[in-house]
Amino acid sequence: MGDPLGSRSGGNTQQEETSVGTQNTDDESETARLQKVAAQIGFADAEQLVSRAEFEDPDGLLARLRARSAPAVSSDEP
Amino acid sequence: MTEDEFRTLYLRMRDDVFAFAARRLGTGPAEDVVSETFEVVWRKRNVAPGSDENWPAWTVGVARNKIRQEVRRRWKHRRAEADLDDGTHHAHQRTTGADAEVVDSLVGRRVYQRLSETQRELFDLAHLRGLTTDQAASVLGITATAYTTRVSRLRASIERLYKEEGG
Repeated sequence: MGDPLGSRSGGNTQQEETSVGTQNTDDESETARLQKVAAQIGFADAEQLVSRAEFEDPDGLLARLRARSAPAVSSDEP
Repeated sequence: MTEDEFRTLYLRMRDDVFAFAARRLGTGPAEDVVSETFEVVWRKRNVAPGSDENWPAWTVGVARNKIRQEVRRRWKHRRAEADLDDGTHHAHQRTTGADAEVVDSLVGRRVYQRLSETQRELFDLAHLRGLTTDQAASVLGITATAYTTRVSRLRASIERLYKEEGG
């Protein structure tokens, strides 16, 4: 049977652990490898997830947060 | 952090915070996490890390806490349900109900359900686009080398689980 994940199966895990992380390019490619495996077994990528989002517009968010942090004015104050 | 800086941070990180939360909680609750996360960022803007380079990781850290709180709340709820139901649902305690939204294959879903809580968090973190390896590592409080090693181990685990599940 082939390897649908295109993994480097059969490799020495310990050797792999000591060989990664020494350079930034290796770090980034290790993350990319995980993302590739995840995509191959059906995980949604960030674009697919974010396409379902409805974000608050930043000015509206700021206005709401400003209003919330404004000190409450008591009607009893002179 | 000025208002302009807050606005820039929001526009830069809201997609990542949303995707981070959606993988664990589903897309509906993820919008709440985005909103609550940036409320905290705004409230704590005067104690934000000194360098703006660290703000994205700090923001993801805030989101991580929000997600953990919600995951814990759901687990407690499910545990209570399972106790009432003679414990027959214990095998699914680690699921949060969002799996179907983020994994479109049954095998993939079974793999995800077999990941530990720590592995799921790392998995989700490794999918963030707005963080460098160093920044993602800082969210977990570990070095970039340790982070990369964990990502490598996680990939190997997923590949093994995928084969075990018949993929």
